[in-house]
Amino acid sequence: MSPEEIQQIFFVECEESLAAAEAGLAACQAGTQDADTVNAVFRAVHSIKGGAGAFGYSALQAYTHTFETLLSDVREGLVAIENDLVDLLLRALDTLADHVQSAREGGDAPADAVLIAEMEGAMAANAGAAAPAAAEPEAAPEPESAPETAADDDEPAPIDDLDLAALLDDLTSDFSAGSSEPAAGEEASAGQGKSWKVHLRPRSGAMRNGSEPLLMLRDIAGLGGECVYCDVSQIPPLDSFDVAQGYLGWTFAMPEGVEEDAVRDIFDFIGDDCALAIGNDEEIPEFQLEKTAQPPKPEPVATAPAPAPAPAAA
Amino acid sequence: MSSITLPARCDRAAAEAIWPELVAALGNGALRIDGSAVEHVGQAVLQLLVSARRSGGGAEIEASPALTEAARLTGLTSELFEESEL
Repeated sequence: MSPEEIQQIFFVECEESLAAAEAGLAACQAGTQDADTVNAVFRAVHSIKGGAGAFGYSALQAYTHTFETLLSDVREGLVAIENDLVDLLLRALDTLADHVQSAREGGDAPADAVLIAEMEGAMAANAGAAAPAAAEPEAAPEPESAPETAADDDEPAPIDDLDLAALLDDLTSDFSAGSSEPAAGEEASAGQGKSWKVHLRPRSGAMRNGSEPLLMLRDIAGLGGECVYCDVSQIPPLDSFDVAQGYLGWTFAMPEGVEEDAVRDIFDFIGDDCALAIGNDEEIPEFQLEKTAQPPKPEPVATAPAPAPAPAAA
Repeated sequence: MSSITLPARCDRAAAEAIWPELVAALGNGALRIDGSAVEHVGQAVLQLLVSARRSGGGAEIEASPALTEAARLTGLTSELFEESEL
């Protein structure tokens, strides 16, 4: 797998993170401002920052650092979610998308000094200041300003370092194992140097409000975890399928050096919406059919030859 | 053979839109699902694709890099892309 292809994967993940952040902020705008929603936005931006650092996109990394610091304040409840803030975060997300695009296409980074100043002005340590930073939009951003340092206390640097290293390790090892004989490679690497297992089953709540179980799986993979089993036994046939249910369960093998708490932290914000069991003797938590708003049955299906599905027939 | 094209963004809303299409295509033999334009995929669509593969005449899925990567992450590569033994 070439470096270009590895980067392509990174940008695929960026698109997913941008989509998750957008969904989360749209929910915030619509009035859903709970911890899960804010966390989903935070994690999305955090994930882009990690990759940007690993691949050396310094402009993208610097920008996401400011963005993430502000989101961290929001997550900690230090900055209130008001209309102006959501508006600022949405504009910041637009510019983040521009940053990702310029990193991907090698163009000039977008002008972000004004936004960075605005975001710094909105941070907890500055909100009490007499003049909002937006009043001086041309002010040069201070990359190492005090508020960032303060906010970083919540998100210790070693975790970021671990993320970066693990991301690259994970990418490269996956590709070397998967390139020739995927199945055999998976089994072999799953048996080597993996010492403990984490089992999880996202409930329907883990798929709502901008939450996406795959982002958590990516975080596990970012720690060096590898999927050894996906339980598909609960998936019903199409005609009794309920889109709102979580039907999948997973077992991941984690490298020996990874702390159990590092995995638990990933699921901290999702709480009961993702059942978790840690340990080699554990199993994937049991499936529970949940009550959802989804109608249980589709419209009756005609047996007529071709009820051409509307938009997508090709 | 019925054919269904997946959108670029396969989130939960997309799963809700695709599901009736898949159900409507049941009974028309094997289904072809074109996922070559997929840039983002979540659990809701992945599990729906597994269901489609296991329902009716099964389904053959063409994958984009993003879909391939998501299947690898979730351990669903063979479930989604290996030739059906039905």
